[in-house]
Amino acid sequence: MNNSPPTVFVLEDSDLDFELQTLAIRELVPEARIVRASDCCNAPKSFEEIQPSLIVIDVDLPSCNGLAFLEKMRKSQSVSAPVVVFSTSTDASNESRALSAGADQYCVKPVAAAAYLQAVRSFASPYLAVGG
Amino acid sequence: MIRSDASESVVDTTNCDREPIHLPGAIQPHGCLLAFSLKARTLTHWSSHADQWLGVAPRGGESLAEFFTPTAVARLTALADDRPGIVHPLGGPILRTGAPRQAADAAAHVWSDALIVELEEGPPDGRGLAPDNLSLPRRLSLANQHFQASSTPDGLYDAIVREVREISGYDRVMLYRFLKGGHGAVVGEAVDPRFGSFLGLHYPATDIPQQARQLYVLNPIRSIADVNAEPVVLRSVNPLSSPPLDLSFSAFRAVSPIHVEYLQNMGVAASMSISLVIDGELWGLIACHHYSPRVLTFDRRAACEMLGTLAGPYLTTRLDSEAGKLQATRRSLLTEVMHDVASRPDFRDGLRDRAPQLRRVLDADGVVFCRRHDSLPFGQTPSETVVRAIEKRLADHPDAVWSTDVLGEEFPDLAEDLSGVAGCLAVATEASDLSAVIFFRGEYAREVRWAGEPTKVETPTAEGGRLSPRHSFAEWRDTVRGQSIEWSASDLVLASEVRLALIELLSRRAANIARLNDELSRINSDLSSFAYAASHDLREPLRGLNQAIFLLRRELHPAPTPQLEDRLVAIEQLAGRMDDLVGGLLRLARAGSSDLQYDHFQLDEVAREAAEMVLGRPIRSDVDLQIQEGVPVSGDFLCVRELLTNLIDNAIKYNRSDRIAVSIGVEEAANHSAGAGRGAMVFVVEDNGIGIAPELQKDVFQIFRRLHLPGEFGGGTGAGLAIAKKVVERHGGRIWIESGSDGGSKLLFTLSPNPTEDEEIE
Repeated sequence: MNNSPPTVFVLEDSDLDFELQTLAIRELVPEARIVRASDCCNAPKSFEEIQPSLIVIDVDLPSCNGLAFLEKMRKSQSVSAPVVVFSTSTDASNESRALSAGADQYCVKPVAAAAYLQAVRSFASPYLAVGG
Repeated sequence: MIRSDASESVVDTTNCDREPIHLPGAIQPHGCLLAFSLKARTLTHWSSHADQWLGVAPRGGESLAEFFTPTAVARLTALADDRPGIVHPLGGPILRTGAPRQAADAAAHVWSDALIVELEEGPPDGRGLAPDNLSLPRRLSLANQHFQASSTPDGLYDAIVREVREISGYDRVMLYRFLKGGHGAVVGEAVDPRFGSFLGLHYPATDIPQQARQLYVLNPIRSIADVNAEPVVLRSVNPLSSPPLDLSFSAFRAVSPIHVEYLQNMGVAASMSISLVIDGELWGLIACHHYSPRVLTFDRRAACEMLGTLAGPYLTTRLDSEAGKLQATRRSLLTEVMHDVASRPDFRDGLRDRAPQLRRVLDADGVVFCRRHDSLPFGQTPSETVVRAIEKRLADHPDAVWSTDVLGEEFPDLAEDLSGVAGCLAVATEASDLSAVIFFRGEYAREVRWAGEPTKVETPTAEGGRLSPRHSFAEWRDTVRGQSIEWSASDLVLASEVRLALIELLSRRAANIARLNDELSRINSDLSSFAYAASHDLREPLRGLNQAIFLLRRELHPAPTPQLEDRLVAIEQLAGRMDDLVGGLLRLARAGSSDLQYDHFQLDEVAREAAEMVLGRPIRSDVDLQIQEGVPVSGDFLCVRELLTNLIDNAIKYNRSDRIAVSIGVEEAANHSAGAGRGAMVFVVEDNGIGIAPELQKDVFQIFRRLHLPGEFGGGTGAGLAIAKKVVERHGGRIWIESGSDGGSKLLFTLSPNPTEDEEIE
């Protein structure tokens, strides 16, 4: 167990979304390290270096599908970090695909910003307990 | 002239048509007949007055040479091998010298194993053909030119009788045409002005028995020189064993006493008939009457016979041409009508506007277009009951065409409903929006002028009825009732063409409707996917907008100026409003896109769930909610729940009452003829809210149509009733608004198609 601040990897193309997510995570853990990729193509090939405590993946991305990224990631790497798929899609098939690809949770992005912050806090907090 | 001779003096109605009139056993006295066995060429029969012609009484078994010159014997021997039924002229003196009455003319023919030689007197009026003394070929040529020059059937009838009268010299020459049912009428006449006209008179079928008609087809000419002359019996070599001589082709065949009586009653002394045979059928007769005895020479008879033969093809051509011209006119009218109907966007309008012309195509007084449940009548037509009865009759008919000119006889029970219509011609078109077309003709009450009362007179005898010919030939008028003008062959042909044209039109129209439906459902599905995509995609930037406002507000906290704060609030509210609208559009798109899952459930079950979604659980205490129990509903549960959610939401939202009352239930369909037909269940959601003005009741179902300011009544999206309407329409129902009993609104809807409404001819 190290005491270094937790790292969250976020795959998210929307700057505003990323800003809100950062806001919510920093509310929980102000010193948290947040690594962002705005598309699959600039996501790291390996999470060896980052060692994230939580991975947050959006589904609709400019050049790829977040779920496909998740499936590939779970197959090729032994990343044990928990994954939350965070999307605007209410489509039930996306949720079941995410869970079967190895996501720990599927969360729909609330429209209202306050609710959005609350949603991020509630799915992130279990994994970002300070000192955890 | 009309009644043919019968061989026996006593006949009754049962054997009348079986009289062997070709075997009379006698000839008329103006000629002499000698018949020889065809094989042995020996005499078998002779007329009893033959001794007056030969000088000696002939004896049975005598050979040809006993009677004729060597030249004549040679010719007779030669023609004996010719085909039977051909009458050969034998010019010049043929009897052996010593005969007291050298016959001027003679003819011979073979028939029924007999060689029959007939002798007659020379012509009393010279060799030529009176009155212009032309030779036979030139006379025939002249007649032919007259026939050719007559362009109409009536003109031809006239030319025929005039030419025959010219050649024959009879007092009266008539053209008699057989009509339907065997009776006939005089259609042409040339008559000596001293005698009255018979033109237009009808003669009953019984005037010419069946076997006489057959004989007319076989031998086209028949003459009676003197009705009042005593016939001369035929003697035969062996009266007991030899069969009676067949006189089918004899020029002198004796006349039946009944026919004699018939002609005597008419005052006729001599007659001649020439058959007009068209396509093997006896079309009519050229009938000649003379009021004193009259013998025609062989030449003249032959010329008249030729005229009859010549007339046949002319009659065919003129009648066909007349029918053809009429048919061509009517056909082009039909084409014009169909072309116009086909070009109309509305088939029914086309038929309605062109019904008068379509009637004219069939020379009909009325026409009815039958549909599955009703019919469109134009002009003179009978009642719907009759129309349906005809349709039923038509359905049993394999040809898809059925006609009659005596509807009253076909449907005796419906006589009251005919409204003066007597004939119909029905064609089946077998489409749901046009099952049949029926043309009608009114009663054609016409007078038929009979040549005497057209019934046979039976004189009672001990053995039964003795048939006697009509005594009176005074014109006898008969009014025909209950009949229309007959449907002609041309009418039937055109009716078939009408049928085919309509079927083609209907199938083209059906294909067109199918294409439009495809297009419409494609557009509909495009629209709903567009609405879905648009509303879905609109949500993304809207979410971003909300997020940006949120962040902006954080960064500008607290707002530097009150004005800036107002601006921020305005942006927030507008974004929120936009979000509501997009949400509504999305729900509407969803209501219209997914497939319906039909289910059976109870109204109270779905209404309670919907109410809880709007009013929370437990239900808000300021709302009185009444839900009728025990009402079965058939539909998509989720859709119906969405529908009721929207209706309850509206009922609550547009309400200023202290205690809001909402009741959900069903009403009797009969009260709502405007919106629903019989048999549909009408659901009602009634409130005590602010109500909707009648003039606005139709508008509220349009999407985003709001009747109030955004700030009023909690700012509805304006999609609720549009969604409700969508759900109802997808179930095939209707939704409408009525003002409630105490000022509120009543939203009424059905969830199934109206069973009594049909989309048919449009």
